[in-house]
Amino acid sequence: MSDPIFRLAHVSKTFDRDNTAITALDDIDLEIQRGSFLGIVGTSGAGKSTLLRLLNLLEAPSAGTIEFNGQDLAALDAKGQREYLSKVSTIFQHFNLFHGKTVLDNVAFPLAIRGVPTAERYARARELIEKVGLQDREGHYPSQLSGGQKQRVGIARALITNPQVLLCDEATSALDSQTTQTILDLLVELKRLYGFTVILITHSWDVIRYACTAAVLIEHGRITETGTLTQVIQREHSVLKDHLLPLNKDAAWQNGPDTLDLIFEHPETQTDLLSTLASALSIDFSILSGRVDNLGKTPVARFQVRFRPRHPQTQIDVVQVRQWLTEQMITVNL
Amino acid sequence: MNPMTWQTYLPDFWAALAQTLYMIAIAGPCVIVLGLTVGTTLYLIAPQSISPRPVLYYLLTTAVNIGRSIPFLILIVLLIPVTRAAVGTTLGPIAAIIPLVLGFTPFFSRLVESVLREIDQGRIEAALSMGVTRFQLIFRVLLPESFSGLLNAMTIILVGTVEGTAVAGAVGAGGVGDFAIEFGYQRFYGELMFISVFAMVIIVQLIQITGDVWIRARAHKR
Repeated sequence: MSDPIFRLAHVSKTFDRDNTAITALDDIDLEIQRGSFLGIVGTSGAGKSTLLRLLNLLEAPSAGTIEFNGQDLAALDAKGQREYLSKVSTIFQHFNLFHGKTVLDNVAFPLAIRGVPTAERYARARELIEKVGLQDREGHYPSQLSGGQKQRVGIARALITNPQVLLCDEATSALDSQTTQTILDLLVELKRLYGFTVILITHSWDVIRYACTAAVLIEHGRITETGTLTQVIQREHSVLKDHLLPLNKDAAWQNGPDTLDLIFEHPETQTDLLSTLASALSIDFSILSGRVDNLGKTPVARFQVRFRPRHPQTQIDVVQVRQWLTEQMITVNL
Repeated sequence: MNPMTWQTYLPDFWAALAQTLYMIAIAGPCVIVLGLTVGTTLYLIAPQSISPRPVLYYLLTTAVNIGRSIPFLILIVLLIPVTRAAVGTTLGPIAAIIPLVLGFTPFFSRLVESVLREIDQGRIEAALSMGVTRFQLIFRVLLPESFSGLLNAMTIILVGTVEGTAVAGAVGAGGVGDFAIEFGYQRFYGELMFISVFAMVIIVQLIQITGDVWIRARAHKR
């Protein structure tokens, strides 16, 4: 069921730099499904940050419309914008905590600026500080915390207004890989608990693999591919797939009519797949490239396999091999 | 009849010291409040800043530059008609307050502007992404987040104002500077000159130490 929380239509953003127009986003059409954990990925300067800044109103689009739950963002007045920003929160790469405020006051800040009484906002802040595991740190200042702890404060601060959407602007890029995992685990857990939608921008494929259910690829200000990870890995040609499940680059030249690119989930249960295939069709095979990656919690295998006939006189019937594999629910690409 | 000694003039010294402290006590807070206002305005309306108003920024920044470029002694003279109109006299500590405020506000405004520019842009964007009003941005984010830098700037400007009172003293404002010239220099009481300089050093030290201690106490909040 399609239930977009955001709908972007023909969105463009140009910046004026020394009287030269720079196009950061070029005619973007995108629907973001409610409840997804969406990763927006692309190289530096591709426009992914700009896209996020349109969603948290730090920038306005030069053209096109952005709808949130069917409401055009351009039509919001100042009060409407403040209301909207309580439903759409952001966490940042460099955390952006207020250094002059304690953890408690940082987390309570979004409620303080909305006039929520002190007792009420502190009670709510303490609840969230506990959820992110910093209950013994509420009186500390940001300079007394580690990077991972700062991002936990950032997350608690973002969630205190009980938002429908959490925007993550390279939220783990400043953290080491182990801390990144614990932060992503926390996001997945809190998303399950509170049910918000996550839109995360990153240049890290590990982050997409680890946490996301869907991905958008941005290149030179345009969306070049989008889909759930499950959809993406079943595509015959897909840049997202090739980044999520990369093949050995040196194996690519060996592509030929007798070479197949196989992708299948749960490789543990498929350990005898290739040998079963070999005996069923009376062929031999060699693995040119292969690896198993976790997409979320699901292990997915990708193998590039070359088939040879057992008897030099016979021919490989690739169609037959493909058909056999397709029957086993294996995605096959030439 | 006892010969006149330097001790004879000690009561005059205490009166002069009181005048100096009075000038600092009135002019200092005025400079700080006005400078914070002008400096924050400059920061907010600068091109590429949060609420850009390029024309207004240009006018205000030019005014600040002119204010900073006039030597203080000349400013006092130029402001004589204004001072007379405002307080009815051009003599005494009260008359020195207008030139002190107008003389030191431009410099302090510039200090405030540069301190605010030091704030990490990310923290401001974080506040904006939460939906702060302009008023909340100034009073709950900009000023608190830059408070250590502002304290440092205030220390600098108050020390400058102390110097200013001495210059103003030379043209009839009274105070320790005036006393030092009149009794220490013109009447050759070296002791009085020494006491005057010593008093100025103590005032400056007190301001500087207070500022430093306060800033250090906030070290973890930076």
